[in-house]
Amino acid sequence: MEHSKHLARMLLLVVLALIVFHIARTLFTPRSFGRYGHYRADNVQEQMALPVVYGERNSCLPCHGQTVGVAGSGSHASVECENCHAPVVTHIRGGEKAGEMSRSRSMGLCLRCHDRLDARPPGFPQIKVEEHLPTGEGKVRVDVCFDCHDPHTPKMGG
Amino acid sequence: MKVGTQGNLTRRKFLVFSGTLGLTLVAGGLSGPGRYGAEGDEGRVDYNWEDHLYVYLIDTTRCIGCGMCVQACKRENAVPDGFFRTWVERYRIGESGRMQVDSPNGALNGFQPSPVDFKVSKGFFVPKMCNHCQNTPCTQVCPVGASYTTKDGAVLVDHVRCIGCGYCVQACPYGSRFLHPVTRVADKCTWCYHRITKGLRPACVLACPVGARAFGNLKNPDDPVRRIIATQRVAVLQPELLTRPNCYYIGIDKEVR
Repeated sequence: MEHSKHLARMLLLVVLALIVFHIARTLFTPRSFGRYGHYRADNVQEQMALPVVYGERNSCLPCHGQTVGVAGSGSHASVECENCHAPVVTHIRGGEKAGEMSRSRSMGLCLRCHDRLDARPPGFPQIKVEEHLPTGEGKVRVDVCFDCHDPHTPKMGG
Repeated sequence: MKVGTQGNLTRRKFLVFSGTLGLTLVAGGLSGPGRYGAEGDEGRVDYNWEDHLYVYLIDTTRCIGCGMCVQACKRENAVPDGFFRTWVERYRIGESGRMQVDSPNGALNGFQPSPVDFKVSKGFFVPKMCNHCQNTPCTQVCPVGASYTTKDGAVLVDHVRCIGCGYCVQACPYGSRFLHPVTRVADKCTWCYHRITKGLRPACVLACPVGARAFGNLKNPDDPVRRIIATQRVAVLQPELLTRPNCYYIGIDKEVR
């Protein structure tokens, strides 16, 4: 037993290392880790708590009920207000007005959906600008679409 | 003899050091707040994930390539410029077998008419996003448990836990993940987890003007998306990889991967 002292010291070191490892592990492993699986359970709540940016049509209703009603009955009924305008949070935040709502009158916005593309479903209403505009038109104004079409109910004669 | 003494001294020093370190760590752990999520219950929402198993359906025959979904995703989730949680691809295929696929800036501003040097015999748009696979390769490779699947079927990334190694970005066969240029951690579609857990639709589904994107709950017997998947012919991307996506497609062609 001449080495018993050495062995005891070594054992002590091993035990100490284990204790340090255990403490470090406890400290560095997030508290909720492993509650549901191999991940930090608290993150689920954190993800749920992220702010909502796009409202639904209901968020426009209280102040713009008439416009929402008109748009909701026309050929653009399936187009969300916030697509052509902007997310509701740019306008209303916490019940207070946060800024002006964007009102784009650009032809580019219309053409996103209605420019004729060879990959678009043929049944979808689409135009070629130079064919669609009355002949003799000079330089095309950026808001020329609005001369004839109301963006909320764009279909003419119906 | 002298050497031995020095050795003993070093060991003693080491033991003292270890003990001090251990005690310091314990003290630190007892006194300070926990590192992760100890801030309490703010923002908690009454929601039971056992009642949901989400599923996503994309009808490419309806998609018009307007890119409103990409725009909505960007705004809702503050996705950085040049990166996309969802994007739209335009496929144009000729009878000769020639094909052109493009997605200018992810279709954030839609598509422009652009010529191709062959006669297009069929063309269509395919919205792409995270497939929220049931057998997902991306979470399997995460070395720190930052990527995971929720009980309601969403594949999420813990931005606090992620170390930004990028393994998951490489593991995803659909190219749905990227490293965020500012936070330097993995980022991806969450199905707008903050919206769906409040009963709202994901921003892309909300924004789609033609109903090409739909979101459903497989645990609801009356769910229209569930019914479509159960009764109609649907496909998934790259089924040969056995990832079992929860994102189903209607009307995709063999060229779409």
